[in-house]
Amino acid sequence: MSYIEFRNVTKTYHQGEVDIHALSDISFEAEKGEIVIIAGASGAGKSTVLNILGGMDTCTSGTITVDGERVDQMDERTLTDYRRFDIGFVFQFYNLVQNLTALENVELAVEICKDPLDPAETMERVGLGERMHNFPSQLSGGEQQRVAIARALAKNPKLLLCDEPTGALDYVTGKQILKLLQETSRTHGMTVVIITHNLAITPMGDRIIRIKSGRVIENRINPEPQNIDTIEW
Amino acid sequence: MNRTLIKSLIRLIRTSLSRFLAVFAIVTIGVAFFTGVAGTADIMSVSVDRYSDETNLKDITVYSNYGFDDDDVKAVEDIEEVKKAQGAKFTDVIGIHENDSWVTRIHSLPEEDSINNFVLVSGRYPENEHEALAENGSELEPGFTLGERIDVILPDGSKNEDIVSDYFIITGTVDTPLYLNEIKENSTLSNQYIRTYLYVNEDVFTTDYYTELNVLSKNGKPYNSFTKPYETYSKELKETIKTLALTQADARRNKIRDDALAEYEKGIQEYRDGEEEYRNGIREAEEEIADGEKQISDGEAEIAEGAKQLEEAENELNRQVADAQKQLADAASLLADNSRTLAQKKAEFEAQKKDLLKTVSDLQNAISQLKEAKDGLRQIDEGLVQIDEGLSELNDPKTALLIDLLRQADPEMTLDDLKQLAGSLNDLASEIRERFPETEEITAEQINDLIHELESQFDTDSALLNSEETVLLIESLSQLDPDTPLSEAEGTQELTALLTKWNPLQSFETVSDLLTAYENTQSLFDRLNDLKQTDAYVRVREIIDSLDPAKPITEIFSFDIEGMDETVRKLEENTGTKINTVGDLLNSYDELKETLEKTKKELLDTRKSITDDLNEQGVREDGIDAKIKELEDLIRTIQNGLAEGEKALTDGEAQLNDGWAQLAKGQRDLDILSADGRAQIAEGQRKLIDSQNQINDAIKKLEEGRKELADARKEGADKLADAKAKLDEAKEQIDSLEHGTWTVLDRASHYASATYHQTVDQMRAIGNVFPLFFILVAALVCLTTMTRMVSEQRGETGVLRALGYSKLQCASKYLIYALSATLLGCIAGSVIGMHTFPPIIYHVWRMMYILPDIVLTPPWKLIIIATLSFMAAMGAVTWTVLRSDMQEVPAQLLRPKAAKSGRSALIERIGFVWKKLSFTWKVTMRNIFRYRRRFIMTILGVAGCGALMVTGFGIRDSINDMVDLQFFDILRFDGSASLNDEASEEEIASLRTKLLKRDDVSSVTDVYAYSALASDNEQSGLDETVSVQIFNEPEEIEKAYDLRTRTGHEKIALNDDGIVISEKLAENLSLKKGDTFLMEDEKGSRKSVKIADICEMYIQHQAFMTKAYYESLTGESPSKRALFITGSEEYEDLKDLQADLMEEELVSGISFYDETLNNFSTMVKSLDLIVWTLIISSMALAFVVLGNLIHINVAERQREIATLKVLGFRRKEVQSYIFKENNILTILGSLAGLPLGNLLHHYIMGCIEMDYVMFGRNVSLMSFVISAALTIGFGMLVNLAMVRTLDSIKMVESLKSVE
Repeated sequence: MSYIEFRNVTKTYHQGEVDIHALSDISFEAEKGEIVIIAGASGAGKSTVLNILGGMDTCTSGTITVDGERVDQMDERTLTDYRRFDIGFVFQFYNLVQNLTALENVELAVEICKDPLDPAETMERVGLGERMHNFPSQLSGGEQQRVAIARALAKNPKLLLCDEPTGALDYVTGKQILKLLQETSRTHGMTVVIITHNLAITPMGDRIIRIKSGRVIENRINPEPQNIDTIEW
Repeated sequence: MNRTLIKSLIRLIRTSLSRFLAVFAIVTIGVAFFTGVAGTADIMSVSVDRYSDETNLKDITVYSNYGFDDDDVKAVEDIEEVKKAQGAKFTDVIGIHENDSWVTRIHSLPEEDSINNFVLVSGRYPENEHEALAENGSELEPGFTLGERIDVILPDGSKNEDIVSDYFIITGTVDTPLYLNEIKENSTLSNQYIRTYLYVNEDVFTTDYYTELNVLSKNGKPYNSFTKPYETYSKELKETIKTLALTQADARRNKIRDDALAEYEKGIQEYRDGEEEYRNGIREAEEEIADGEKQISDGEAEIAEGAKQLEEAENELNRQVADAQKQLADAASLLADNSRTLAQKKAEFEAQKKDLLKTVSDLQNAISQLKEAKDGLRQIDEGLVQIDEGLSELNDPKTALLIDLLRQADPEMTLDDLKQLAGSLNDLASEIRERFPETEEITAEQINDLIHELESQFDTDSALLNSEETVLLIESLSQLDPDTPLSEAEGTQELTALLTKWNPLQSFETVSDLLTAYENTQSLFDRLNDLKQTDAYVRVREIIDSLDPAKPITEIFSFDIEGMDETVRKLEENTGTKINTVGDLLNSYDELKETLEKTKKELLDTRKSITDDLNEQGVREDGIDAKIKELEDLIRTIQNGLAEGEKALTDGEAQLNDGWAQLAKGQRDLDILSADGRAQIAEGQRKLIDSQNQINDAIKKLEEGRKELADARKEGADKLADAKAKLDEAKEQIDSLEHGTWTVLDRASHYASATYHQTVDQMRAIGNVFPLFFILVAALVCLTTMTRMVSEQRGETGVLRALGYSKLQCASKYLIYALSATLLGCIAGSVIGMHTFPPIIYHVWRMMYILPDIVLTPPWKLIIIATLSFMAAMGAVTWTVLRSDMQEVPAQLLRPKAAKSGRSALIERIGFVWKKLSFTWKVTMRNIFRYRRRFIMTILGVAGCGALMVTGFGIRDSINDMVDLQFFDILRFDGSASLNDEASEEEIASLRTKLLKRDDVSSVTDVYAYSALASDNEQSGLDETVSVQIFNEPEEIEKAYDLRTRTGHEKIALNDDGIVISEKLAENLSLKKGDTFLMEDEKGSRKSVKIADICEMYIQHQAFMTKAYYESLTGESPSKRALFITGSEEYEDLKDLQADLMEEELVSGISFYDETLNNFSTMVKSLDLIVWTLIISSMALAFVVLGNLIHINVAERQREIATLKVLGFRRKEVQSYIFKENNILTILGSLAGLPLGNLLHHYIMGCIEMDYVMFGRNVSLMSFVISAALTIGFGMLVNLAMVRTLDSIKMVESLKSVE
């Protein structure tokens, strides 16, 4: 059994009298320690996959297994615990608490975890050892995203979910962030799921899943993932 | 603005309705408070102003040292601006009813529809001089009650001479704007407050001038009399009247002076007349004395004469009496003689009477014998007559004939046979009579002859008739025509003659007649033949033959059968034997006849013997009656004689008795006459003595008269001199008569209007506190709301600007949004405010004022002010928010606004604290300090809520405190009984003992108590009325009061060096411990007293001192005694005690606190209304402020919350993360609200506190705790309401881009 398994997952939104099928019968799997790139155009359904995988939303039908646990069967409370202990989330717009310093933002997440990493160390790890006492508004976009990654990592999650982590960043910074994610996965064996519309970065993933109109159109394992530095777009 | 913008505005309002409502609500609350509380002042003033207008309350009152007359009234009324002027009368008295003795002003009833009218609340108008209308008053302090009798006196107990009545019955109660207060202005009685008033008919007043002159202005009514314009207007009028006063004030004075001068002249005249009179009087008196002397000497002479006459009269009387006595004695002896004679005569008479009576009885016997004889004779004669009758009957010819006839008959023949025979005879007789009518008087002999003749004739004729020739003739005749006349028939003459003989009645004309007669005759002859053959005929023949030949035939031939029957009947009757036969008849007849004759003989014999007897007595038969009459006459004579004798005797006795009676009467008369005479003589003597006494008196009087005259002479002279002096003095007074002055007062000097004016101003002051505070909170609410709104709409604004809309157009959307919410809030607030606060507050003031019904006129001015200020504030705030956005270029606007950077709070510098805080705490802290507007808004809002609540509860506390502290802590006695001034020590002591013996009395304290006026040393401002209580010993106060300081409750002891006064008095007079002030003693003179201490006391001004201190102040002992009585705990009420105390003669009045306590309890209850209003208001405030805050907080931090959720924060953790901030602010706010509330409470209590009452000054700890707890509770409640909003935030929000 794979570490992550999506089996025949369907998600239907009811909007008035119209049913919108965000996901129709999606199935894929991923292994522990892999970098999974889920790619697709806007509205293809990749965010829905992420939401369901991250426990922020539930599927209409199908089974989702993460590390042997059935996420689709979780109730509100276990979902919260699932998010709390198993998932690290990196947002497109960082979503830092403006009122807390970089370090505090990390600590915010750490405080509610069972077996967290040391926040300051994590900050060091993401290269913000110097600026960890700054408030988010005092940091650049890339730095803020690093804080966000640190916040996710410090929780020591099973899964790192990244939603367009470079979407709000310039090319160079974006690359740096991706590099950080790649390194994290490589050095810590962290399973990282990256959602992106940028097909150009797919070569960095161990597994590439392409979604179009709520269906998986490609699910392949990249036997030779490239270092992010070698990827240009 | 174009249509799309308006559409977008409307849509904006609809989507953000809660924000819109928040702004609307806070404005509503603010405006409601402002218009409500501040508007109350206006509504209060308008209500009373309208009341005053409706009842024509005077604008100006004028007083004068000479009063007013109608000319004065007319002069004032002639002033241009005066609509009406009216004189009125009043006087001040003490009104007494049961325990109450109240200073009472008695007003004359105003004319209908004139100035100072009133509202008749109950009852009817007075109809006579003993009826009055009384004050209706308030619940706490009512006036006299309907139906009560009020005795009115002056303070010294004398009658008020200004009015005719000394008591009034209350027939109705009234309300008047003239008196709005429970405590009223000063009276004219030694500076005491008027407690109540009465209205009476004007004719109750004896005064002929008006005491006051009331003026109603022409144009005053349109103004509100509690405003400046009115004051200006009335001041002008006041000045005009003052100008008039310069001239008019003396008019009445001059009139009075003229009158006085006239009076003086009259006095002088009277003086002269008096002098004249004096002289005449003296002269007359002297004459009278001379007269008196003469009368006395005359009188003495008369007395001497009288005495002499009296003596003569006495002698005469004695003589007369003696004569009369002698006459009476003679008469008595004569009477005695007569009496004896009479007795003798009587005895003689009785003897005679006896004999005479015997004679009479003999005579009566004789008479009865005679009568018997007479009766016997009469009976015998009657018997004889009857017998004779019977005999004559028997012998009467007819009967005799009958008997004779019968004797010849066969005795064996029955009577029936006889009757038959008689019938035949009678028939025969009648036949004969028919035949021989002329033979009436023929005798039997003749008859006999006749019969013989007839028989022979018959024999002849029958032979002839039956002869052949006749037969032949008849045969031949019968051959003839019957009608042939006889004359024509031959040979018929003989026959005709024969037949005519036998048929005398028949005419013989024709043959037929003849034949007929023949036939008849033939048959007659046949019958006669037959008859002749019968026995009867034979016997008749025999009878006839035997008859007396001389007898007439009629007698013989009328055998009377009926007569025989009669005879038979009689015989049967008389003999008793049945008569069947003729023999019987004859026997009976004979027997009867014999008997009768025998009887007759006997009777005759008897008669003979009787007549013989009579003859023996010398009486003839026909003289019996005469003899009887003679005897009866004799008896009558004897009886008459006896009666006369008896009468003579009785008359004699009667005369004798009469004589005795007359004698007695004579004696009595004589006695009376003699007594009368003596009495008259005595009377005469007494009269003489009286006359002597009178003369003596007259002499004495004359002496006195002489003395009096001397006195009067002197007195008269003195009086004249006095009068002269007085007249001179009067003249002097008239010459120095002071000028008239008018005091013109407008309503600023009218106690009721002026004090109410103050109250209205106080209310206005309270009303001014709230709006500022609410505008601030509202502005903050608006600020946060609009800031959020504008920043949310930033993109849209950018687009609009980019599309070319002007700044103003863009801004107007938000301005209109804010201002429309504000405007709606203003409208709603005005309506709500006007209908909640004024009625409630007015109601509370009604406990202290006697107010008309509320008039809810919208306070437009305030509404406009409130609306404008709120609009301005909200507009300004919104503009401020918009300004920064509007200054940016569209491109900037389209980009998201840089998030507000996090900042480290001050608290972070305190490392050891900071480090210990959890993240949520840190975030909370940072947030609190980061959003300062919200911080202030929340603190202010919540503090305001808490403050309102503290105020509400505080007001309750204050009044409860006042009641509880005053009645349960400080006052230790239940009531007092004031005692008569004359009460002696012993009486008081015995009353005390009596009271102490009662079960419902636990202690009695003997004190002195009176009421005094007090002022500061300068006597500035109003006097305060103080209840002064003097204790014999300092420690005795312990039984009546717990004297202590309000703060700290330190015990205060009385000492002999000063007075302890109540706090409110000290406050009103600005006094402190150790100061001195002026206070009246019992006699009313002001003494400077030293304040030893100031004590806690809530109701009335009180002053306490020892007897020693009082004595040291005045040099006298106090005299007004009272007993302070404490009831037993076990007794619910002391009604019995009160009733019994009233009965005590020593007790002049009682006052117990139970009633007051009830009144205050009612008052506290109605204050609950205010408390609830404040609590509800504060709740609304808390909801709006906190709700808005949380709402905005959540809206602004949606992303953050979503992120937290994504990070795995649980529901509670998210809630606490967000609400912690609110909770801290709520707690901070409510804590801040406590001192604020305390301040507000003090301010409000200061504004509403009454002159003589001190409310509790402190808000209780409990009220603070409750207020804080409630405020925090509201906060929590709002949090709870927001939980749903929090839950509804979706995690997906976190993924969205920053707007």
